[in-house]
Amino acid sequence: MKLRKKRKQNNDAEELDITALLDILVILLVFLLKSFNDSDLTVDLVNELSLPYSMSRTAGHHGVILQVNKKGNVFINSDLLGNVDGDETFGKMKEVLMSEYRKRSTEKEGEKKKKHLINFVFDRGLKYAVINKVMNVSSEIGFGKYKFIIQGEE
Amino acid sequence: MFKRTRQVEKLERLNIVPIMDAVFIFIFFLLFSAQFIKLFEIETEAPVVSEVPEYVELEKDPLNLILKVYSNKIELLKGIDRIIDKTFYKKDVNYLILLKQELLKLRLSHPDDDYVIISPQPQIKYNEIIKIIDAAQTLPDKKIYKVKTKDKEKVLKKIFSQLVLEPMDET
Repeated sequence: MKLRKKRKQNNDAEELDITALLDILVILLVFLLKSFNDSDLTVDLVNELSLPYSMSRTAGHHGVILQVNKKGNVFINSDLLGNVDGDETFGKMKEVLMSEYRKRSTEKEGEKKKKHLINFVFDRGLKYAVINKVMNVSSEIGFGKYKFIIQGEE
Repeated sequence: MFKRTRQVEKLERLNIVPIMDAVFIFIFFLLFSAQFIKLFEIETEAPVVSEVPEYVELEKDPLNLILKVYSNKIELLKGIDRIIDKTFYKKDVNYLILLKQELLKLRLSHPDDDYVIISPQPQIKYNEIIKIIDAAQTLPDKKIYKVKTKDKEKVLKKIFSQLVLEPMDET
């Protein structure tokens, strides 16, 4: 008799209540939708680099990414080249940019607009003298379109 | 008679399993594309240097707007002769707002001139340059500004959409 009773209880197990889980999912969905970004630009920010805030709302585009952090270290596509005060840094920069330029020149005709695009990610405390030097080198190679990557204001 | 009421009571529960599957997939997609630091861009152009002097007869005096950024002030220069039109001193807390108002006024009165040259001194910090670019490009909130060019009327998206950064000629 006892055994029979137990079996009956197992068969009538209650359905799992997932209402609370669904509530959390909906909230998560709203937050994720808010932070969704459709730009094709992805930047791995290097250490000791804080971006300036701006009111600009133009989405970024994929291109060569040149970063200069607070200490003046230059990175192209996240590879460290040296410091802006170093003698060889700008020589190395020219070499890397030239190879990037050539690589992009062989890409599809349809992407012509993006070929000569360079994204600058500068620390907010950098002086214009440094920025100008970096921009001049990029311009010498053939990158004529500069984009400053900035952080959107809240 | 009674059969009908029984059928209504036995109505099946809504099956939300496929919807939940879709929502889960959606969440994964959004998690991968989420960017918690919102990155945007400001477009500038390399200064164009022409070694051959070109003679072009101009219909009227162009705006040829230049903003010279010093450590204590911003000078606004206009025209072919680059005459100082206004000076904004940084000790004034609202200097950026005043600059924006002046630039907007100039843009509305010169519909065909859509570029501004910003030339900072070498010691000026990047953060400040970005603030000046913001003042030269971002329109005041919730207002629509229109300019009439030769062919048509257009709505402004930025005060000056073309921007050139060039080193200051201190002579």
